This record gives sequence, structure tokens and C-alpha cells, in this order.
Amino acid sequence: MKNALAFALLCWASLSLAQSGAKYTISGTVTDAASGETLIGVTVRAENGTGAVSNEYGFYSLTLGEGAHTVSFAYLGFLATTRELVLQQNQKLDIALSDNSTLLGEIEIKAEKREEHVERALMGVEKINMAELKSLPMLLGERDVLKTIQLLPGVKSAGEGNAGFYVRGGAADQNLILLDEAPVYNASHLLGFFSTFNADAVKDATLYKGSMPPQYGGRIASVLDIKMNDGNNQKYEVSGGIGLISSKLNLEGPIQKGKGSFLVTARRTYLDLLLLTSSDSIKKSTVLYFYDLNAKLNYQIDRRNRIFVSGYFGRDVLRFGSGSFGVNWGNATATLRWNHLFSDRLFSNTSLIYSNYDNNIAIQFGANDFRISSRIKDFNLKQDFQWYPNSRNTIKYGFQIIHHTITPSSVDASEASDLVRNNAAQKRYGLESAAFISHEWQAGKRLNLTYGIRVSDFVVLGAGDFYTYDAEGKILTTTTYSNGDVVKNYLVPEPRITASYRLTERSSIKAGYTRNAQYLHLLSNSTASNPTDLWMPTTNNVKAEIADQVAVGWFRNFGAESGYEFSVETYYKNMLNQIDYRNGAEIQGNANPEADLLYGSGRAYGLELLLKKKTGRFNGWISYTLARTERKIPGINNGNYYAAKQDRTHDLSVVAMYQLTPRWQLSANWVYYTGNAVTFPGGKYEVNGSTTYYYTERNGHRMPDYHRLDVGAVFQAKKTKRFESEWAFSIYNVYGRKNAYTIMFRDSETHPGTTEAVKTSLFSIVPSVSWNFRF
Amino acid sequence: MKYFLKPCLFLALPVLLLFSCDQEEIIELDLSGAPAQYVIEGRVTDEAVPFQVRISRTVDVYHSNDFPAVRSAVVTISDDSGQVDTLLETTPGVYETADAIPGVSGRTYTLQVWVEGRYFVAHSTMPALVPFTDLRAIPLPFGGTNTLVMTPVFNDPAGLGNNYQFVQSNNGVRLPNIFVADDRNTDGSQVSTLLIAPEMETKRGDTVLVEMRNIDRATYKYFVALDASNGNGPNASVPANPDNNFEGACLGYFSAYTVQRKSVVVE
Repeated sequence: MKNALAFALLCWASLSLAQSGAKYTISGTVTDAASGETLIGVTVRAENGTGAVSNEYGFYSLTLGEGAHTVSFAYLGFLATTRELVLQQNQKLDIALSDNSTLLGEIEIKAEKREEHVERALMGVEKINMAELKSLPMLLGERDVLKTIQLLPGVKSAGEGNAGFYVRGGAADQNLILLDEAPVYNASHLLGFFSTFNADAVKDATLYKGSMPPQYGGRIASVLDIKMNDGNNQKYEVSGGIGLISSKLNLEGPIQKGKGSFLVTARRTYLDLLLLTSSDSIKKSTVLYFYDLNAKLNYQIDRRNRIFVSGYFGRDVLRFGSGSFGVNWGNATATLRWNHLFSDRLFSNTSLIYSNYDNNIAIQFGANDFRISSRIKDFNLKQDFQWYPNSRNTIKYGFQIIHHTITPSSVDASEASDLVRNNAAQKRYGLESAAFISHEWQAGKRLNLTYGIRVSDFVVLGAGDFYTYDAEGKILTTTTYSNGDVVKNYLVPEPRITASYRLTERSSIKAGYTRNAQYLHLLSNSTASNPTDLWMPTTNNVKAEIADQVAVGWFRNFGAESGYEFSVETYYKNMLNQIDYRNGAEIQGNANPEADLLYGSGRAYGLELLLKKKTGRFNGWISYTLARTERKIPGINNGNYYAAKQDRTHDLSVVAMYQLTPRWQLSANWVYYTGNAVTFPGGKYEVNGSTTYYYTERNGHRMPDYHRLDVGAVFQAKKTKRFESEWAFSIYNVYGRKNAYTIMFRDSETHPGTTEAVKTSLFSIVPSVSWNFRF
Repeated sequence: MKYFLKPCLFLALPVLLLFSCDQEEIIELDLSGAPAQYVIEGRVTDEAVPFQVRISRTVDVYHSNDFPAVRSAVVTISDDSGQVDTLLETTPGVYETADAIPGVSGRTYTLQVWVEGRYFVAHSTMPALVPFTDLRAIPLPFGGTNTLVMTPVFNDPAGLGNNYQFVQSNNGVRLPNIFVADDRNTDGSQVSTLLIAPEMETKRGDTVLVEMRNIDRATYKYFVALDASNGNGPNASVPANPDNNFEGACLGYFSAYTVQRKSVVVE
């Protein structure tokens, strides 16, 4: 502890030491010249090698000595720009970069700007290139951020065609998914087949698999930070797409040219129209669709102030038989943000965020009319400061407060209902707060350091009855709290540090340690992603989940102009207070789900390799993960470690894109992974008059290996100044591999008196075509 | 409520499969090697029938469905009034009391089994009988068509802790579905339990017999777990052997329960 303190003091001292001589600051915003969209992660560098990176609002601040400087701005996919300037005072320098798509295939970015991969003290971070995303083949032609990240090392798909993902052995609910800073609780549509993010409206998506910067917290496996486009502030634009199962429309334009813009995007599926063609009357009367609506507004009030208002609303609707039985679920988020510059070196963002997720099942028959619903509602205040004292140091600090209201599944029946009664499960309240500080420090020519701490706290609030349980899950005591009472408080310090050391110009080693805490838990007993899966807050019984992760990596760029990136990362993660159900737990309509929970620990470790070719007509990557994920929960598997269901030994993705001609782009990806860990019977017996299966070991078996090849092509139709369009073709599962979706056991129909294992696969060859336009 | 949610997801999946090309294929898996386990199923009822215990063994998954009877076990059922009965093996693996004296509500029964050097013991208390007041068939709209669902009606007595099991037979054929209910959401009120069996259609003209049992908590939990582990669908739990009330590791259960029956011809 003493050493840590001394170290911290030393680091702080470095801030002031670097202050000698007359220093001035260049600061401003980097934008896309064509659309006025701010660019995130642009490398800004002076001739002496010191540099900065534009933040999530496109803002950068670089402090240099008095005199003449050459400052360059580089961003992948854009033409690098260089400015000569003589610094005699603080200077504002806004930069607009031009897209280099007109010069496809040519290498325009100078090599030294591309060493960021080896240089920065960031590990386990993947930035999704939105241009790549648009050219990859996808199931039914739906471009999808969540499915694209599944092709990266350390990230696994939750199943065939599923948008859910597992990161470094974490469960699906252990990923924090942020849309313009608002947490999204259920990031998928249609039981997991499509993600809630309309890829056309996404500007930037960054996934942190480890070494999360301290401004993020609340989930123990990963952070996926998605930023939506702000809207074109130069000209009005309409774009959209017509696909096999959905259509999209995107409207954007300036409110006042160069100062503010708006953006509205909408997407709706029309699966139910396909159902209409069915001869089956049940399918015909079935309603099934989802829609998304994104809206955003931003305005630069003056040089120092900018505001953003954004919202997302998405919903899935599933109805059978003229409304007598229906399910609908969805997320709604609203964010109000205010960027303020206190000085050229101190950037501030204040966010007010509302987030809501709910699912409803409505059933009507005879006199009975009732609804089963559950909901999570959050109010969130977030304050971030970013201070750029000099070119070697960046300090980020701030705080966050979230008020959660969680309504587990409760039944609301009409008075006339004779079969069903009101059953209002208790609402749960919690106050999650955190304060954080981090320091990015270029400690030497070779050493970069990012370290900091997040201190998170969760207060379990009344009103409500809280219970204690015995070992069998029977209630021992009941304590009643009234509104606002503190039931229990959890405080978790989350230290984080990452260091990178440059071995050579183009290679480095990195190491890091990260702790994360999680206070909301998704209870899911099922194999599919159900809208009815239950979110559960931390209570007196359910403890905060904590994960400690250490990682080491080697990063190397090579080839002409550093066109290739290679990295190896290994990690070990220890997880505390993991939750699982007791055998035979009742989940739905259980007013007291805590009685059916068991708690234990988990561990995950693995090796991730990534080789990426970033430039040229032919580009793509190969990613491989070797991993193990285990849980140890007293009461399951005799208290021994067992493979978590997302445990997959090998996971390989090969992604290739090729610019055939200026108008044709081809792409392909092939994935292979070891089947999930599952529990198959080891025997059978007869009880209660039926054949029943006997299980020997939790998750002791494997699903068959999974592999699949997808190919795609994008054709750029004739482009005029006013109108451009493209055709996107794709074939999912080209060689029609029948991958197992489920395996179940049943009494054989063909050989009565015996048992057979039945494999169900979902998608064989699925071709699709879509047309996208912009004017 | 789980009766509703289960069919809901049961129906959602086929809809998804509709726009995919769902295909089934029978595959061979390597599932051998688990040592055989004892399976004990014991019942004591308030009817004038012998107490019955069946003992068998597990077999490999790919073995045929004939389950070896376990013979020559020593089986006793005793109660807390001091009565001890030794059961006789009437057919291979089936052990019964000699006389047919009904069990009594409130009494705790103990089943003891000695077999091949192993010893198993379980206790079960026969709950008080809650009158089975009515049996109706009501139409429920699932999948756009009205499906007839049998609905037993009874008045749950005030105070938590009543557990129920229903066994339905259509035209003399027993449905394999497990129907159990407790009173956590319905304590002290008139209850109409829906016996939803989506894959078994009840039609007009069918003679339907429903047996209502009052069971103890351990039996209730056993059947809930058995039902969850049987379900292979999307809402099924992670498969596991249900916990039971036996000391000594074996499969099965021992239940002392009351029995009432109602039969209707569905109109």
C-alpha cells in the first residue's frame, strides 16, 4: 500500500516536472469533412513524436513548446493532414479530414502514424471498423455490430445466428453495452437473432475485453461502447436500405450549417409478411416483428459548449391468434449530454441518462385478461473530466450515480379474471455509484502507463421485505424495510493498471491488471436468449460479482508501411460471487427467486492470437483463441470445477475482404469453434411411468464442433453527385453445414422402446440480397 | 404462471424456425460408461390399496427401455405410530404390503430398503386432504386455435404449505405430463389450475379423468425438478438429477399422498 502511494506521488510529480518552459496548447475538434461527423480516436502528432488522440467527442488537446511545429492528423480510411504552425499562444485548430475512399487501394497514411497499436497502454481493446462491417457477409443481410465483434479473438458467439456474445469466459450479462452512454439491457431482437443496433447509425464501436479504462464499470467481462452518428451538419442526406427481412431509412442534416445537426433512423422487419404466405392458419395469424428508432440532435452553442440529445426506442412484438396471446419487449434510452471546455486543456462532459427495459406477456381468454411484466428503469448521472496538462499526461476523472428500479415478473389481472390473480412481485431499488480517476502517462520514450482506480458502491434500498435463507433455501428471517432505508451497502475498490513497453519501433510488450464489479445479474436458466430472462439486483443475499483479471501481451507491426499487425495476449481471470440456479429451480412466476440460487466462483484463462492485414486491396484478419472457463459452485457437480456452458477450447475466425474492381468488393469469413459444454445423460431409468434421463456430470459433454463459411459481395452501382446506391449480396453457410443448435433425447419412433439423440440445426444455406441508397 | 410461460416459448420457437430451415437429424453420441444406479419409487396413499415400492436400475442411454428389476431387497414401511410393515416382492422388482390399509393424513412414513449391501431411507408425511371441488374443460387460445384445457378447481386452505399434484388421463390413457402446484401465489383462495399439455389435445367427447393428490413439499420439489430436467425445449433448465428425499444416493422418490378423482365427458 505504501509503495503504491509512493508510486502515485511519483507519477503526479511527473506532471509538474514536465511543465518547464513556455508551453501552449493546440486544441480543437476533428471532423469528417464531408459530413461534419466528429471522428473518434484520431492520432494527432507533433514532429517531435509527442501526440494525442481525439476523444469520444472528437476533441483533442496537445500542449507543445513555443515555436514552429508540424502537426499531423491521421485516421484510418481518411487522408492524413499536416499543418505547419507557429505557437505563440494557445491556439484553436479544428480539422476536417477527407475520406480516402476515392483512392481505394492506395496507401495514404504514413507508417509512423500507424504504430498506435504497439504504443498505447491499452490491451484487450478492439475497435470495430464500420467500413469493414459494411462489407462482411451477414445472416439475412442484416449488418450487425454484435455479430462482427464475434469474429475477434476472445469473443464468442452465443450460438447459431445469435447476436449475444461471451467475452473471455464471461456470461452474456457480464458485458456492459452502452449506446451513447446509456446501458442497454437486452441488446438483441427476436430471441437473439438480431442486435438492437442499426449498423447504419453507428459511428464507432469499441470493445474492451480487459483493461477497461476506469470510467467504465458495472459489468465484469467487457464493455462495448457504441456511439451513434451525430448527423450530417453540412447538408441534408437521405439514405436507407431494403433487405430481405427489414428496411431502414436514415434522415440527417444540419440545423444550422456547421453548428448543429439532427439524425433520425428507423428500421422495421417484415417477417410477418413472410408468415402471411404460409398455408398454416396459425402461422398466418401470427404477428412477429421488431423495430428500432434512433433520433439525435446536437448543437454547438459556442466555442466552449455543445449539447447532444439522443434517444433510442426499440421493440419486439410477437402475437398469436388475433391478440389473445402476445409478447412484446424492448429498450428505450434517452441521453442528454453537455460538452463543456473549461479551458483548452480541460474537457468536461455531463450526461443525464434514462434507460428502460421491459417485457410484457399479455394473455386474454374468456373473462381472463392479464399481463405478466417485468422492467428495469434507470436514472443515471455521469460526469467526466479530461485534463490534458501536457503532451505526456492525460488525467481522466469523474463520477457516476445510477438509480435502479427493478420489477421482477409480476402479474396484473383484470377484476373479471377468475383463473389468474394479481401477483405483484416486490420492486427492488438500488443506488449504484462510482468515482474514478485515471492517468495516462508517457513515462518515457519506451514506457507508457495507464493506471487508475474506480471505487464503486451499491446501496440496496428499501422498501421491501428482505429474507435470509438456510442451506436448503428455506426462509429463516424476514426483515421489512420502508422506503429509502439502507438494507445493505457494498463498496468495491477497482484498481486498474496497464503498461506498455516498446521493445523496438514496431513491437511492444504490455501487461495489465483490472478489477471489475457487477451489481445487476441476469438469471437465465435457458439455452436461448429469452426476453423473460430475469434481471436481479444485488441484495443482502446476492453479492456483488467481482472479477480480477491479469493479462500479458506482445504486439508487433510488420510489413511495408506496417500494413500488418500481430498480437498475442494471454489472460487469467478470477470471478467471485457467481450465481447459478439450484437443480430444478423455478424461475418464472417465482416471487422469491433468491431461494433458488447458489453462489460460487469462476475462473477463465486463455490465449488470443490476432494477425491483421489492414491495408491494400486485400485485407482481413485471422483470429484464434484457446480458452477455458470454469465455475465452482457448492451444490453443483459435487462442488467441483465444471466447464461453464460458454467454455470452448478452440475458436478460429478467418475474415477476408478483397476489392476486386473499384465497384465490386468481395468478402468471406470462416468460423470454427469447439462445441459448447453441455450436459448429456449418462443413462436412463423409469420413474412416474416415463423414461427419464440420468445425469452424471454438469456440462461434461460437448456439442459437435461448429464451422461455417459465409461469402458476400458489394456492388457499387453508378454513382452520381446526387445519388449513390449499392447492392449487397451474401450467402450464409455456403456449404450448408448442419451445425447443431440443440441436441435432445427422445423415445425413438422408428424403433419403439429405444432412445435416440436428435440434432436440430437452424440455418442451412441462406442467401440474401439488399439494396442501400444515399442521396 | 409457469404453465403460461412454458407454452409461450414453446410456441415462439417454431415461429423462429419457420424462417430458418429447421432440420432434424438423428445422431450417434458417445454416452456410455456411467455405473448403474438404483431407482426407488415408493408410494403410500390414503386409498385402500397396498403400499407399493418399485426398485429398478438405470441402463445406458442406447440400451432398450427395459429397466432391470432389482430383486430380493428387504423393504419396510413404518409410521410414527409404531406400525412396521415388511413388503413382499409380488412381481420382480415390485414390493407391496400384504394388506390394503389406507394411510392417514398427518402421519409420517419411513421407507427403508436394504439391497445388495446398500441401505436407503426416506421419510414422507401425508398432507391433509383438500377437497377436489370441480373439474372443467375450458378453451384456451394457443397458437390461434382454441385448445381445451382441463381445469381442476379446489379451495386452498389458509396458510402456506399446501402442495398439489394432478394426473390426467384421456380415454384411459395417462398423459405423461407432470402437473404440480403450490400455494405461494394462491394461498387461501379458490384455485383453478390449468393442466396445459400443448402436445396432447383434449377433444370434445373425450372422457377425462383427473386424479388430485395432496403431496408433501419434498415431493413437490422433486416433480418440479423432474419436469424441468425432462424438458429439452428452450425454457428447460440445465439438466440435472432432481434432488429427492432419500438418504443414500439413489434416484426416484418416496411420497405419501392423498388421492381424489373426478371424471368428466368433455362437452
